[in-house]
Amino acid sequence: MATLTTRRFRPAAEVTPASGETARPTDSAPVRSFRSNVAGRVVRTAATRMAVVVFCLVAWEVVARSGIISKALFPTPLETWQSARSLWRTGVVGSDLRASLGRVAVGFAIGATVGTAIGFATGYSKACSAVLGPIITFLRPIPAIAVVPLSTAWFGIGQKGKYFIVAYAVVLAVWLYVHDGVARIPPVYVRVARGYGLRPIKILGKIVLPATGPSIVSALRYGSSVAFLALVAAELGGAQNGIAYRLQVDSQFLQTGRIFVGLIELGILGVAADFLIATVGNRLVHWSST
Amino acid sequence: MTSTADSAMTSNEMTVASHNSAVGGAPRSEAIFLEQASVTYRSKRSGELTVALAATDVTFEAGSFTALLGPTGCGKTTLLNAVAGFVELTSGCVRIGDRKIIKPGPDRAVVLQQYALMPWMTALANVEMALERFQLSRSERAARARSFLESVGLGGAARKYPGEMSGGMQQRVALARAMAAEPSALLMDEPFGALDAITRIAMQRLLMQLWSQTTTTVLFVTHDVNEALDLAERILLMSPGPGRIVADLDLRHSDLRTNALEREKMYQEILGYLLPA
Repeated sequence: MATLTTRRFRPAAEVTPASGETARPTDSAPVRSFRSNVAGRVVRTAATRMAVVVFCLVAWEVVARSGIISKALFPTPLETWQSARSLWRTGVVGSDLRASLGRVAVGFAIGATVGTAIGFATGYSKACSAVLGPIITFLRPIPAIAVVPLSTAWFGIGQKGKYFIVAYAVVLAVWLYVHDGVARIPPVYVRVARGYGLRPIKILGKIVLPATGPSIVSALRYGSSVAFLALVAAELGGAQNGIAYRLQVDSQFLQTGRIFVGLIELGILGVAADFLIATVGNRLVHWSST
Repeated sequence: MTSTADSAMTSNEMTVASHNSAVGGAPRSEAIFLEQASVTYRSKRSGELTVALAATDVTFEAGSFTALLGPTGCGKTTLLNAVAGFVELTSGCVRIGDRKIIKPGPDRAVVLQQYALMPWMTALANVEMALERFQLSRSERAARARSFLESVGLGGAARKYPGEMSGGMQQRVALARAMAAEPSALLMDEPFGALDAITRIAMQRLLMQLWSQTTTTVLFVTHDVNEALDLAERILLMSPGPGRIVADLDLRHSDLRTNALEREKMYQEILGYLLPA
């Protein structure tokens, strides 16, 4: 402590190097340690995730072998992997993925667009909120699976019905987040913009839209998870292919290995969709990452 | 001394005076009149009425610099917000020049303690926003915004986002934005309250420099007696319960900036008003 104090109060001339430049800590050392810290953190995070995956696989193996649950009904990781390989080789996985992804993508695109648009309308305009708010509030507790019979009556069991069900669920999910985001914009932004004489259309595009950006990213992330929930409802309600359709067929033949494959597919797709939206979204709303 | 961004603005190479109006001619300044203006709030929960500003008559001359000084709840911010058009009057009226104020407008630029910069816009885009109404060409608008950033010593930070700037830098962007709008009046609500003491002094000097080179009427809300004494030509002392003006001090012909004794006397006089025995 004593040495630190003396050093601090040494006259400036003594700490200034001969060149006349102000004394500065050497650049390289702290920068390197900072970088290695970052790299270390990335490695540690990846290692932790790997450890979790390995732990789950081991636990799964142990439970499957223990016979707590009948071995016929609870496949080991290896048996599941073998089911996946045979499904892949026969082309079932590929065609199911294509079918399901297509339904999710189209339904999500429609639902996200409509949900965002309505969210803006009801969040921005009190009149829109008064008209549409009660309708949406009424629909929100009605789950996608309850809409399946109506969808079948209207659209049959073709693709349109699947899009409808997914879009229905996504609209409601996305609307809530976007509406809330628009309604919660700090009033000072709009106030300042109005004060500088921006016209309403400019305020919408330059202030309200970007200010809602972070909420839209959240809305789309939540919407994508809801899309997969609705997809399962739609495919269980009548389809000729798709991941959830396959789950139902496999269930009738007690092919639990194949069922596990289907469930894992759904999980991976959900994670991938969320990752994609979060990565692209957070880059677009970079200012709100703090 | 190192030339950090925060100290660079005190250098002598400022070019504020070179700004001509975007619409041609010198930016005008206008007087502000409050005539029996009062603001009463009703509490949403209890329905209780609070007189934030009792009926007030006051005139702010064109091009003057007035500090509104008082403790929390004295109505100084309410008075400022009434001029800004942010609050509705319960009675009376506020005019700027010959226009009655009913809503916010680009003739009155507001600078708040929380900067109120758009975090998704660069410093340059934030300033450009204030130029929107002049309908300049895109390149002209950018050049003009850049010159205002330069006038607050931030020429090099045009592409930075508010989140990448210190509080002092953000407030300078807000000041550049306000000046770029060529307001008749500049309304400042504790603009330097969130800044550290050194940065605050630098900002006060910058403000005085900008003001001396324009003709803008300034209303400056503060609860800092020294800040009011350092900056203003006139101090309105305000007091709560109900919010009202209790004294009107004209400092134009005083020599407070050079006469420490005189300044101390004035300081004590102000405290006498604000802390009645």
